[in-house]
Amino acid sequence: MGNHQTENLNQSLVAFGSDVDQIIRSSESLNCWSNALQAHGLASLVSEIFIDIYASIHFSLCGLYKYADMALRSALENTLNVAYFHGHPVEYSWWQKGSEWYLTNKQPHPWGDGYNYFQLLASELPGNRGENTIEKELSAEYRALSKSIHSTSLKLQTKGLKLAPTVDIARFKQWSERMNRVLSLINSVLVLALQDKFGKMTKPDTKLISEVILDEHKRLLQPIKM
Amino acid sequence: MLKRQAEDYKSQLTEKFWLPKVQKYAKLLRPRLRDKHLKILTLTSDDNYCETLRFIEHRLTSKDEIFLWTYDHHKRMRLEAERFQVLPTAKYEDTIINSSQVISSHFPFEILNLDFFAQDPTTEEGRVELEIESVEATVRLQKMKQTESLKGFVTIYTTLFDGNAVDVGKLANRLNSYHVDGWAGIDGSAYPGSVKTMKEKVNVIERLLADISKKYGYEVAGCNHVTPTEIISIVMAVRKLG
Repeated sequence: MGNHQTENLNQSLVAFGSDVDQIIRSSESLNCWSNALQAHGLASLVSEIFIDIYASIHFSLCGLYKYADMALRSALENTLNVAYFHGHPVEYSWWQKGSEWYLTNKQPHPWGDGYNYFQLLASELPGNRGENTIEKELSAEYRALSKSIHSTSLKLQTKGLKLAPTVDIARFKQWSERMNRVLSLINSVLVLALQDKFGKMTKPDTKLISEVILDEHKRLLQPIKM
Repeated sequence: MLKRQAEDYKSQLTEKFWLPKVQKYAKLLRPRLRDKHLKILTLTSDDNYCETLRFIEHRLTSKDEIFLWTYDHHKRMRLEAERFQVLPTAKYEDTIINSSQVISSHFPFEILNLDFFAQDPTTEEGRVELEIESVEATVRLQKMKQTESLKGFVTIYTTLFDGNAVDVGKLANRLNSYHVDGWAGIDGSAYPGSVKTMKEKVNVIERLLADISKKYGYEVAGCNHVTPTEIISIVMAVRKLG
């Protein structure tokens, strides 16, 4: 199996090298957040987001597209955790000790049910007209990635005839587009929740983050200067 | 271009400058030991960490005693794959100035290789001033974590030379904000207001590093510099006073 995976890896790098280079460059935006959060202690969670992204890239290059999506969903969840815990240090200390207090409140996540918390953050931006756009984006992306975790028929790893992972151009391109959207959302959520940190970053760092965020997500963050 | 320069500069600097100077000053720090076992912090890059290998080869340290630093997650993974200990992923200058508690447990070190050139520097204004301030914060932490056995240490400061002037007046004010009882502060009038040429920058930086060392109770045992193309590299050894 090791040789097969190595073959897939090499084949993917030859076929999709420039896509991977661009994704790696975009993932370097996480360095900016890790740097900004050193004093806060949440930097370790940013490293967790990085590893999720790294794992997703690796799975995808090996032809394991379903697992690549699973890793992306983990990256998104960890981002929402960072955004929430930044404003909730007490809950963060509970979470670090392994507590799942939110389950006793019948909430699936530390930040509550759905993405209302992040919509409330967005509603505080001057000029926000109360449209639930960040909520819709997060919900749509999370739902799409969850299809891989819940093994819906169209997202099975073994869709098609082959059991062994195989490099598939269409599936790679689908994953690549999703990765870019998720990286854009990760940075958008962090800009929204950590505006003070973003405002203090150097110009090269804010430029890198701004380049990763898609135009459709930049509109959700107005009037934050990108 | 900068990456290619990085590959070239590191090997040459290590062989012709860093290694001979560290070997010389290591005799001050550990005069009796053949294997020096120096504890080293080095800001390095994932594609060329030759200084660590040469220091180990020359029995100045071992892999257990070297701590690497990089600002990038991908680079950190590559260095960890080589079984090195790598400290938090962040910019060194920001961490040591604003959140030193994150790394203070690892101090003190005997060799501090603050190679900012290896950290893919940009050419922003204020960059060198921030780096020098980070050297002050480093020496301050060294002093706070001083042990009986630490006779002194060697600081290697390496940076990119660019066209921006260094605002010495502003820098002196920043350094003077690090208060030490009995220290009157850097006399800004003894320095030019700003410096731009390679020679001016080297001169000012060496004087500031010496001032910083004295501020924290160290005397300068030796100071040397080289200036290969677009790079300033200074090695300063200090001895504990008293």
